Amino acid sequence: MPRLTTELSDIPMPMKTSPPDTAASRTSDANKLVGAFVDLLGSKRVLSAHSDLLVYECDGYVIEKNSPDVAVFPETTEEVAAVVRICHDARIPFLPRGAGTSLAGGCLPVGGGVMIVLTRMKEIVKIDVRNRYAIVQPGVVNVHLTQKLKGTGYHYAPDPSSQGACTIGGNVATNSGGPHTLKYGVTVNHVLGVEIVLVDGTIVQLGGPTEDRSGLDLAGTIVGSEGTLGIVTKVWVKLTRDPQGYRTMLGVFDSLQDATNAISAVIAAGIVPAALEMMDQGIVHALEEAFAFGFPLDAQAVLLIEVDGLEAGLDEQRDRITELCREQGAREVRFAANQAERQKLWKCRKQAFGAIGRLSPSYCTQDGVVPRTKLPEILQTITDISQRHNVAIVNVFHAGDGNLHPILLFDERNPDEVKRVLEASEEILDACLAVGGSVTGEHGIGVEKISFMTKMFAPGDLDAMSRLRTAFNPDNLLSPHKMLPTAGACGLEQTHPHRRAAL
Amino acid sequence: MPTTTTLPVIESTESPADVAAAAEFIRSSAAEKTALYPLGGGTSLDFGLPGKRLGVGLDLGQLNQIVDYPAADMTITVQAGIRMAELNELLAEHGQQLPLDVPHAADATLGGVLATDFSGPRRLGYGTARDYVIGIRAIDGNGQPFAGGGRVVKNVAGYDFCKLLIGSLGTLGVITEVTLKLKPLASDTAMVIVTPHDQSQLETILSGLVTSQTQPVAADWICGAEWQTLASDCGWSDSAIGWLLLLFEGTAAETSWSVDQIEREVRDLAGIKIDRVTTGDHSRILEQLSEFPARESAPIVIKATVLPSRVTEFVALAQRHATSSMQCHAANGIVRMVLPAAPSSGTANLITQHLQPAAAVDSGEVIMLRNRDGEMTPRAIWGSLSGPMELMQRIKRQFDPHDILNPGRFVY
Repeated sequence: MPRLTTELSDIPMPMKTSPPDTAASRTSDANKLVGAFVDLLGSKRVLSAHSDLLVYECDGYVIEKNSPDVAVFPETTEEVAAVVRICHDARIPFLPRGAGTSLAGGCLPVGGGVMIVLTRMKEIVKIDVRNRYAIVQPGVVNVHLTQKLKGTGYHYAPDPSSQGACTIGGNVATNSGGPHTLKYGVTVNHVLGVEIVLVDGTIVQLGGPTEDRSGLDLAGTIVGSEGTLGIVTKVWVKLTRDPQGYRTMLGVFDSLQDATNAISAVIAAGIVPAALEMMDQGIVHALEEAFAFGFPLDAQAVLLIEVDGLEAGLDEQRDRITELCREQGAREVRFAANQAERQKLWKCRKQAFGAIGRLSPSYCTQDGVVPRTKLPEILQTITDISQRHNVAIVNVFHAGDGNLHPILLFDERNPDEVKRVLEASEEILDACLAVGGSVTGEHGIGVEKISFMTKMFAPGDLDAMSRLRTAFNPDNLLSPHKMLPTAGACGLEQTHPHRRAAL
Repeated sequence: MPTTTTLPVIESTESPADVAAAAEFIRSSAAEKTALYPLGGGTSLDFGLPGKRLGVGLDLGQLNQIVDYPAADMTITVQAGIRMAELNELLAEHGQQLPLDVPHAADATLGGVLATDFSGPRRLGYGTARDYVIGIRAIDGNGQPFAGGGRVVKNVAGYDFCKLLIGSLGTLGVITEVTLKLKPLASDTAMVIVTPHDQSQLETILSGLVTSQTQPVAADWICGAEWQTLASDCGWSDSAIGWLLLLFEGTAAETSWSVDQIEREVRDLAGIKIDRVTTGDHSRILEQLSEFPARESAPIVIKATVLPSRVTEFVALAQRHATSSMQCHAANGIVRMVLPAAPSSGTANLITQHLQPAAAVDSGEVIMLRNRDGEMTPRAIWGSLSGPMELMQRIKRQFDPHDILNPGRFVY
């Protein structure tokens, strides 16, 4: 695959993206299928020219890239099944892709093959408010469903920061979170059922509009499986009642430790905020420059706290949180005065990563999770790691869930800095595991974090996961080299950090 | 151990003292292909088909340790043999709860509740087991321990064995340890009762609840002879259609506002008054709502899942075919029917010819929670599962290749 070499030549460190053994032969095999795909879908819905495929060579994880050999754009479940049957019969690897906003390489076509792009399957098939569910095709953009629900009194709760672009099919694949999942739960808590195409082209419905199902909870098993068990072609999602009211607060702290202690105090007091986000001084500076909200620039940390629900209970919760923040040393607790101010605050938060360009030419972010009481400890550890490796780190994250997003700032033209960033990243994730946490709260394992799976899970656990995959995907034709450190995936060592949008 | 009609096949019982002993016992059973029937509190042993072959009861009651309870994190890690009542008593000391309302909580174990995926009235406000289990450890049919998830509330690393094992009736692995996320106990509760005149008025009220300003945590419609004693004890008016109970939890300000608000809404919707249930009656009513599907007096208990909008219609159809008492988690579309005796045309006939086709219209299902009638067909107990059955069988073979875990009792 000469073109692969060319594409990667500008990246300073050596990397192996495709297993060298069979990649070349697969490429030519996959190209032989183009005619069959064109017969099925027409020439406009099949891409095979190198220049057309560049867009599909990576997702939000940009460090490792590889083009698919063919990209196809089905519009119906039956078309997906037909494409899958063609790939299956020809023994060509294939994988699904939504909007490509995933952050861990979940839709990187390792080894090439056929990419099944689901963005044309974007119909909201049904909205049933009486029964509190909707049926959507996988390519429906997350926020479009909530927009469509305006006026019904209901919304779709999972709200990843990429919700303006990411698809619900992709959310299902990665079990996406978002700021408001603290109270409302992540994607799997809102998925009632899925229709999937299995690796042999069989179409099955798992779960459905009714709540319980007999037999195994395979819909629940599919969510978060990163596209390795089947291709989701339809999703039954729960709709969530809009809250009657909100109270949105900013807790301003002179010390990072005080802010994290306040987070623990709120959680331990049995308050379940709708969202509880933390931003440190570095990120506040970048946001203030970008949005001029009026954040206090001298504060070490700012907590963005929101409670929602019945109006009758909100002032009491707001006052209790204010009191807890003050007890932990908050200098000030401000309230969003109105809906416009609340929306501006959330805009700042959700676009925080966009503002980071003001701090450094490149950055990389991690997605570790710790028990919430360990937040003071882990933030101190991150500060220590930052100093020891001489890498600037800023923090903006889902504090209420213990889900960190430390952002490591660097200049990728400086190889020594790159090396230090990689070392610091790994140390941060190791520190998360050491206090009983996880290496990923919402971004997924993908190809990026495969090497951590053996640190997080015992061989018996990984073996069980591998057996589950075998039951669905016996020949590993679907999304090979993802999530599990099985044969072929160990060549994917990360050698370079990356810039990217994030949650 | 209570007597059951589904497990006459246990010839002896093994009670391992720890996880290692359990794994060792399962390994040796796998080598000999001895059937194992995992046992928790023995409170749901009538659930499922009868065991297929003679085997050993694997009693997990000794695996009942608290592994770690970092209360300020609102999570707990416990061994699966812990009794539900004991667990919730411990949690209550810290103002916390696992809000799954299950019958026989003093005996029922967490592992058993997860294996059967039991839930109760407050699932409307709090969800079900799958919303609380964040980490799980189990031993598969080869005696190989495995784990999924972890101890943090948000985690997407690896496949979600929590979801795979909940409701799998111990057929893929024997659950040994569980990490749960917890909810704070509400500081106040309030309950109201609505007594509609007829089905259409009930349907009006249930539809209205969808856009109610209030957020009840339970909306149970109950009807039938089994509820008469409670109704007269609590002084409820007689009603042919039964009663709708709404439960609110929150702060005193929230519950008090909710009761006033629902009173206005029901009056505007249906022109009828609600009754406020006195605080003294709350625990008795909640207990009956939780215990209903497990009444020892009931030989046949059926569970249907339908769309919430079709609950009243489904219940009317069911009542035309069999005398029964009902508990419907109306806003969730869950119907539980208790039959005092088998219908003259047979229980399997009732389910497969009348109830399952009615539920199947919207992908709904009808299964049996208990059948002491003696007539046990896989179709009547578990429904048809035509689509994903082959997939489930493939998974079963990967985790229990010798078919020793609860053989014959589940869907495959």
